[in-house]
Amino acid sequence: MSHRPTPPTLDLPLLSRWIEPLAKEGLADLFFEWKSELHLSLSDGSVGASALTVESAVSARARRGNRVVLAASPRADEAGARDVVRRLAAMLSSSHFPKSADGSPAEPGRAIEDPTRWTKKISSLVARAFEDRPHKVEIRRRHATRLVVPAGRAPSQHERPRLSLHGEFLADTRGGPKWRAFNFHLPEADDGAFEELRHRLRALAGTGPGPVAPTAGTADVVLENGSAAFFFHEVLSHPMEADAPASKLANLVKARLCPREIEVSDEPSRLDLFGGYPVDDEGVPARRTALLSAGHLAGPLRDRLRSDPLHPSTGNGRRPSAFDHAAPRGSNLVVGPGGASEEEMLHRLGTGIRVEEFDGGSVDLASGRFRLRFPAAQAVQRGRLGQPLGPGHLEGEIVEALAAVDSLLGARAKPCRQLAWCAREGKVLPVGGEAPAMIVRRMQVSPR
Amino acid sequence: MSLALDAVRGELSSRSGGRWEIYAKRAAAAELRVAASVREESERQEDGCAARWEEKARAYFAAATSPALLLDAIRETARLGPGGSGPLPPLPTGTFAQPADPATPAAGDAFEDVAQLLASESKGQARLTSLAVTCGEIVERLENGAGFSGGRARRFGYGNARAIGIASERRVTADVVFPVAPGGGFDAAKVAQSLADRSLLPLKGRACPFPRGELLLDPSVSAAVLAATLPLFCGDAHRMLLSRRYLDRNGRFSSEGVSLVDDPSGEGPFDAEGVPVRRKEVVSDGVFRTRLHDLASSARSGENPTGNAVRLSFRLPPRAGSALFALEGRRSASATELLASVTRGLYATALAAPPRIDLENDAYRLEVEGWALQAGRVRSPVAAATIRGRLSEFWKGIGGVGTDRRLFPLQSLVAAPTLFVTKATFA
Repeated sequence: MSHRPTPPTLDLPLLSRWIEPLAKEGLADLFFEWKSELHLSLSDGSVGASALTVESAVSARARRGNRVVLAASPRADEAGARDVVRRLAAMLSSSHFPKSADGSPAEPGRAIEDPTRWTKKISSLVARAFEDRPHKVEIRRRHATRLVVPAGRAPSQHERPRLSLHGEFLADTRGGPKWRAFNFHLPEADDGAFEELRHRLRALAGTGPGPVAPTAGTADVVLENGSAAFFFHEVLSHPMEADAPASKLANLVKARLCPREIEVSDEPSRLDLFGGYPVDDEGVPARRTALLSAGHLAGPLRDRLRSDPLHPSTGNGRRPSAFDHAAPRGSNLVVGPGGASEEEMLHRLGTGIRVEEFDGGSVDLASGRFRLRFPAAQAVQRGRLGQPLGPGHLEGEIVEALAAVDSLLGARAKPCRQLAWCAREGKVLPVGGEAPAMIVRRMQVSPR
Repeated sequence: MSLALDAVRGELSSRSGGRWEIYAKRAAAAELRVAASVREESERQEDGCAARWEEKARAYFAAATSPALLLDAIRETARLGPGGSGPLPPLPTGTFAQPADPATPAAGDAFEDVAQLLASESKGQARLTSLAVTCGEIVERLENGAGFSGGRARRFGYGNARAIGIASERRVTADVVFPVAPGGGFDAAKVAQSLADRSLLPLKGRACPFPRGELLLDPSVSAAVLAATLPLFCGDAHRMLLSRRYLDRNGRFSSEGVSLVDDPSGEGPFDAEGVPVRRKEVVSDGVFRTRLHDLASSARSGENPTGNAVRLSFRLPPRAGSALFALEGRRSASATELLASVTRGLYATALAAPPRIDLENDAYRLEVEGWALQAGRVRSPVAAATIRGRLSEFWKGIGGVGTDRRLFPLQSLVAAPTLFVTKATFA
């Protein structure tokens, strides 16, 4: 049912024997990745264009004091692994070279499963979600299989298919038919997500960006439809990454920053969310790590390099590809639900704006200033929804914004389908999130 | 790789006769990233190959990291459907030399040098937190069923430095991207100076004291506007837009004395599709002259190919672009002379956020930091200012071009100097 390449059969004990002598200070590993990307352009239910990319790579890495060395090759088989371990040993001036093979055999072609059935299935699911509305959609299905062979630990392998959809559809609005942009990201295992997409498209068709720009100034904001996960991803997850330089939150661990009702965690083991994985890219099993516990700031997200016996890795060592070093990065940002209905949330907000989606965000870790970009919003007057507003920005400072989070939370946590590909220092990783409706007071709002 | 490519050639020939193209890339790169507590060294060898071919008058595209995987990808793509709406454009012929495989260079460690220079430049108020230098070599080989065969090699280098500026309780992060010579060398003093400016201006500066006035753009800011304007001239997508919104009745795009040049001389003898390249003035002395075409856009528009196909990655089909897009001035002046000519205005030294250029609606918005200028002298630091207006007016309002042209690895490689714009609005 998929176009994924099948990894070759590898002699894992042999690979372990190659990498173990280089683990002088306890850290050395081999990392394999086989990935494919199928790109479909759909227009009103029919496939207009398609392209397939199939990739593989392997890297070997080892640590010497504060020096971490990596050698990478595009050939993800035993011959490629031997090559990178030999190059790594040379870079480390180590005499532990794997023996040369007599004439490495050519990398075999992989059996790729038939993609046409999957294409038909996805085309019909997408067409159903659009309910006969004209649409132009770009679909990217990325399938990655990753294998980590750490020195002194058991190897681990997992695979993750992820779907990204973006494009536009023709919505019937009061002002006549208008094209509305959307983007939606989901792990492929989530069967209910296309029903969710259908509901989201209906909502977008009804309340797209209005002609009136949001008024510049301070406003209270209710974040709905899981968008609070996007907010916490910028103001909490990035500053809590253990390699964040001079993070504003670094010296505030255990301090109370939010109301007691706020529970926020990083949960890579949530495979139903876009950023999930069972084992991280250093072979450490994924687990829940609290970021805010009863409003108090918990510890940072760590990888193996930035861990010690008292502060072990939290399973957040992540690599964009085999060509990159691992670094501590967030995965799925999950906010615990409260008990309020949507009406209660609007009533509690009073007057302000309602935001359902962000389409971009950034944070300066040293100053703590952050900015979130929203494509549309809606005015709220005395607890009632008002006119649709155009695109704009929410800005603020992370410690002040965390203190301005209201204690009342929505009863139902929803996945944030716009939080998907996060770039930090040019390295792009899949992330996700889930959050209930939440109110943040005194945010700086500006039109785009 | 060549033996395995035989199988790819055979597969493509059986599917499309002579209507195919194979692209193969091999890169070797070294990267050194030094931060406060860690020193990360990488040595990478990367391969990529891609195929385009035609079946039943439709073009297909597939890519992979090895010939064996490419063969599988071609077979599966053929079952999925074509990669675009039209046929493959007419392919060029010719034979060019094949370069040797790339060698892995070394990236030198300059962290301590830049850290010391930054400390002295900022009087201790800015601290270097990381410095990454990457350099390498790329060898590309291209062949097609019409008889073209050739290769080209190029060396590359770039770096990224990050610092933190600290003034009492306030802190700010500053990033600088800079070009690195193929051997790994770079101008550490200039990097330190840029970092110091970027770290301290947001801390010391205030709002711009003038709502409008003249504008002086640092080469890094000019380059961002130039790179964002380049798509106007590429392919045939913006043909109508260019003539409707940006050209006056005499075909004038920018002020007199300003030329925009496509200069592919550093890229080898042919472009990403095998078409011979040459230097072209896209805008000459302010007047629009020519578009930049790849094979597909030249076939669609009925104009001659210009040798402007570029591949942003082996994963993507070639498209119209520029290997090096440069801004040149007929009567250039030094940056100091341009600064002295400002009566009242803003010197934008760096972008505080990515530029927002809306080609469709002829609008630009730059969030910058810099200095307020009055009577040719610096008046006060400006922490944040937003420059906005019509892009067409920006280009027609250029009143001076600096001699300090620098290269910037942005969406494509661009070369830009300091620019003096006679009229602008600052928020």
